[in-house]
Amino acid sequence: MNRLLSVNGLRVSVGEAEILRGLDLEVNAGEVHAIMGPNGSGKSTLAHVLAGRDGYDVTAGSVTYRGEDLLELAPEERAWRGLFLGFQYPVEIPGVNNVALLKAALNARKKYQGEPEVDSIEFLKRVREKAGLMEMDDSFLQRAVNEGFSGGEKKRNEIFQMALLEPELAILDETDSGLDIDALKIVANGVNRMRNDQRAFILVTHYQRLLDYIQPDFVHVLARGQVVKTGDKGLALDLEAQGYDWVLDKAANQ
Amino acid sequence: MSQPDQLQHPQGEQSNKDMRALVEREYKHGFFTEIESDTVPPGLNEDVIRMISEKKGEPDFLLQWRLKAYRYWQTLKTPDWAKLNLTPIDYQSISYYSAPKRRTDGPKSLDEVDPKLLETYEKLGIPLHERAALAGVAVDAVFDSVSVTTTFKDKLADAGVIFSSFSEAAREHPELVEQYLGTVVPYRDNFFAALNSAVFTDGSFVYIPKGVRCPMELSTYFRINEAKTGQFERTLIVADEGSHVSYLEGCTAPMRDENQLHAAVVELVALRDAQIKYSTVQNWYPGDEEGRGGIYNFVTKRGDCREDNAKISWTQVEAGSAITWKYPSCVLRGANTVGEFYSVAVTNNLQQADTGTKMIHIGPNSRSTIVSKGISAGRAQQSYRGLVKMMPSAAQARNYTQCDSLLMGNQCGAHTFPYMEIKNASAIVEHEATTSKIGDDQLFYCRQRGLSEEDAVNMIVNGFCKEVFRELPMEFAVEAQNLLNVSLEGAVG
Amino acid sequence: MTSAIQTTHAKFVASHPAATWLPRLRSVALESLERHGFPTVALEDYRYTNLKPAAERAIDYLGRSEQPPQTQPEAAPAAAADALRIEVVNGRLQRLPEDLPAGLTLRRLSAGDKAQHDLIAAQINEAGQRGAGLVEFNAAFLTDALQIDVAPGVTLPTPLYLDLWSDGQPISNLPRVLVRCGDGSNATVIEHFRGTGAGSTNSVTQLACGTGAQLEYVKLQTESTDAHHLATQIATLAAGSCLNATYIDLGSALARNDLHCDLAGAGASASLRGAYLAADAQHLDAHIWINHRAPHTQSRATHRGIAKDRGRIVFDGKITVASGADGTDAALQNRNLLLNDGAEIDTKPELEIYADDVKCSHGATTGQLDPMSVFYLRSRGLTDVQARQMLIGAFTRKITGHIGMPTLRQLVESSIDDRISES
Repeated sequence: MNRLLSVNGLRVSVGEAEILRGLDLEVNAGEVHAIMGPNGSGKSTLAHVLAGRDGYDVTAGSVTYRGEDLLELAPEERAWRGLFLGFQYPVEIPGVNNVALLKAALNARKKYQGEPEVDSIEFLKRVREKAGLMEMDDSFLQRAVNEGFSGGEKKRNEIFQMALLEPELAILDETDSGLDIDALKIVANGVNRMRNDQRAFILVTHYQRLLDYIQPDFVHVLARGQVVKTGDKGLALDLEAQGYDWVLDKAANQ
Repeated sequence: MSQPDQLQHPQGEQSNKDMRALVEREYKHGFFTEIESDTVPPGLNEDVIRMISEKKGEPDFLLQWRLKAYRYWQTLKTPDWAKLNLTPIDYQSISYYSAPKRRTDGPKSLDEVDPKLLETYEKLGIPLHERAALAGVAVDAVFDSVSVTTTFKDKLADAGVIFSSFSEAAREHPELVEQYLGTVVPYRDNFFAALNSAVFTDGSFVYIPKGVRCPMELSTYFRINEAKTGQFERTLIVADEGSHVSYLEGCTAPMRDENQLHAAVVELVALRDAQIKYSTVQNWYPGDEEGRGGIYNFVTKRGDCREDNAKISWTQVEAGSAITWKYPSCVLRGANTVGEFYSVAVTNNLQQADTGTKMIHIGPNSRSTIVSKGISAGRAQQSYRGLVKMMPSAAQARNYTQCDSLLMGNQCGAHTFPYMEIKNASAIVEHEATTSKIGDDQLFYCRQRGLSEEDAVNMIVNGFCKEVFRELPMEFAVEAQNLLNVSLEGAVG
Repeated sequence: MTSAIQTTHAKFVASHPAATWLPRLRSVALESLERHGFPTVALEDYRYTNLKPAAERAIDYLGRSEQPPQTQPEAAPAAAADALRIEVVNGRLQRLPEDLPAGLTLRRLSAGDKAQHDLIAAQINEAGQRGAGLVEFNAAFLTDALQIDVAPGVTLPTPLYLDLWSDGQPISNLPRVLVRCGDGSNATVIEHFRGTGAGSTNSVTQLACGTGAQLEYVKLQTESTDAHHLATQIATLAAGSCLNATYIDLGSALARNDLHCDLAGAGASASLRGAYLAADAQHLDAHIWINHRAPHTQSRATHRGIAKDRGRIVFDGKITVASGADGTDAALQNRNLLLNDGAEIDTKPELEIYADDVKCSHGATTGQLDPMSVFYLRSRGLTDVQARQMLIGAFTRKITGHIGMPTLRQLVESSIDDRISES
């Protein structure tokens, strides 16, 4: 079993408020984990802390990624090691060309891996191929990063970037929110196509809808900063049918 | 300017590796050329002006014009309205003429030019041998007070284009010089324009005849070398009916502890249907981290769209100088004339820049666009100052202005002072300005994708400036980006 | 001019004796005024507005002996009926209302004890350091001042309506109003300048908001088109306080308003709006200076000007962010309509920023009524004139719509519509 990520007893605060209160999570290569939970349960905080965003104080616990202490690494160092965050709200960067960013990102990772940079022709070939899969046309690629993109276009762009960067661990933070059903299918196909035994996914989501298209191996319910229940795909369906309250009540009664 | 090999890269293809190398580089043009020079003692009086005029063999009208300017200048006080903090300049301690010594009257060909001078330009990335020169760019190289040489003159002459040093033009084409000199920037225009008119030593002259599209980019490279000198160049570009020209200007100076004065005047005249594109990459020595030394850059640049359908476009990347005071402007006199101003100004350490433009709309249906991007870091202060004036005759005139400032660090300042004066009821004027710092979310996004913080900043800053960079000729766009990265070195943290 | 001021001042002091401490306040202000002089067009802040005629008229009036009002004030606007009305006639504060709500105190400089005088004088002296001559001029010829105190934590049940009426007699109106809102209080203060004839006004209003206080301030200027109207407001906002100010300028031949708004405490916020209509040969100048001096302060300014006939609108809006005022969020918008050739608009939004963690923007546009909108209304049966009047009115509704008091909003909107249709 190839362990990618171990989160042990993670406690995280933002200012005065403690958001994660002793969270545990194990992710192996080849697995797809769905993290569900009501608003404010700490789902996005987990995603941001794993990617290294500033503004979060880790007060206790550890995060190990492929044997290394993840929390010691700068955001870009995590990216070089194959960790990808699909943003809930992808950022607009005026004037910075989408493809130029990707090329710089891909080559930064190649450099870390000691591999030669991809040449322009090869790079463009890959870009076209992945963009085609995401049903993105060329004009889309030549625009500035996320600038003037619709909500759905931004999310598709995130998956496109993921496809090109080929991470080992992809964390998709509410990638399904704001998508119509067609866009949702495109995004889900993008993810499914990338599933293999070397790669793992963490899908952070509020709704079960995405899981109709991406079959998770595990479903975790996050509440008040902890994983309160873990199950298989069936758990997501139960949550869909009955809401979160019964899980929370049960957890509270334990 | 830049190394020729860097110019081969198409825009935007610069790799991160190159970027990092550039960021780690300091002001690279700070060397001094040991060359015997003919420098007059410091001081300014009518005799000095007569001497300059005589050395250059100027026609009498020019001497008389200089003297009128000098007498007028003596009645003026240094302007103090710009938001600048500077040590007063002692105009009697400056030498107003310095030229590399030469054996004969002037080099007839490059073979006669002092090899040390050629080497200097080689080091600056401006090879003057035509076989090595940048394809498609003719260069006039100005060293202190004189023009060293002008490349590709013959090829340009075939097209009827006159491109020479100002001194040569005054001797060879006095009628053109007399007809246009001072018609855009009169010597009474302002303090520094009056001073320049009295003592200007060299610069470039361009005349594009009717209907001619200039076959190559024209470029002047200004270099201050001697200590205790000022550089007062004067450039005059006349685009006759229906002609087109693109002109580039670059500048550097050695690193010195004292301040040196650069007070230039540029006049552009565009006649009916003519177009002039004027690009500047200004990289005078900015002084050190403590603000010692550096060039005082006080420049008057103005273009006159004198007849219908003329167009003048200014693009500037202002990265150097301790102090910059510069407002490239357009007088939109003819109907349907177009004025443009695209500017990137970068100030770091203790640099100060007060720059912007004036768009004076006189002709009906005249249009102007202003895009100004300011980046302020360290303890620098930067101001955008601009005027858009719609005269009563400017029916249907339009202006759009966008001014954005990016702040890096909490000890710098960024200021915006736009003036809009509208006297025509069919004119439309729109102005927008923003000031912010680089977004934390933007930085995090780029780093999540694997870019280092420094690369992320460079990428975001270059993106911020993109609207301006894309107006630069291709050869200069990459250089401008690199210059920006160098100028902001140490600003992130 | 200086000697004229001195002579006039000596004569004025002789004819307006006052408590022993007042001469000192006047002479300090006079000294300062003499040092700076009246602002001239050589000053950057006055480059578009020449105050010389206004200064000359004011000094001329001060030199004359004062007559009682010749005419009775016009009836108070209906809006005043919903408010506590304080009457000022030809610059002279009338009898103050007596039946005051709890937590509201009104004091006047010309009555009361020494301690009260000292309190008021200290505030006046402080403000004297700010203006470019006009504030000092007001103080140098002061005869009275009104202090409005709202006790901490009190929400005033009714707005205060200062009804400043002038009958155009040769009297220099120099109102001075000091508003102090205690911590956590909530009040509405309206200043309505109106009148007939060739009046001359130079008013100063000081607005001080304590921690967490909320103040709505409305200034309505409907003086006669022969009047000269100069006014300065100095607002100081403590932590977490909020100023909500609306300016409407319709009258005067020459009007100049200066608002200095200091966001002095963390989290203070200001929301400023103005609508200006310059017709005939009116010259209306609005200057606002928003000074962010503390972290996490916020300001919004929206000003709209309309110039027609030979009217001229001047707008200058400056946002300054001091070093250390991190988290400042400031936005200023100025939109203008230039309705015919011969009219003029001069606008100058400014940003002066010395902190990096800020979000600041400004925008200014000048243009005409949208022809499509005019056409749309005409296609619905309105005449061209009606359509334009409606659209001009609509242009100002973005400003007036924020006035909290319904009767006042109606008054303001109908005043604007009247001015549009009569000019």
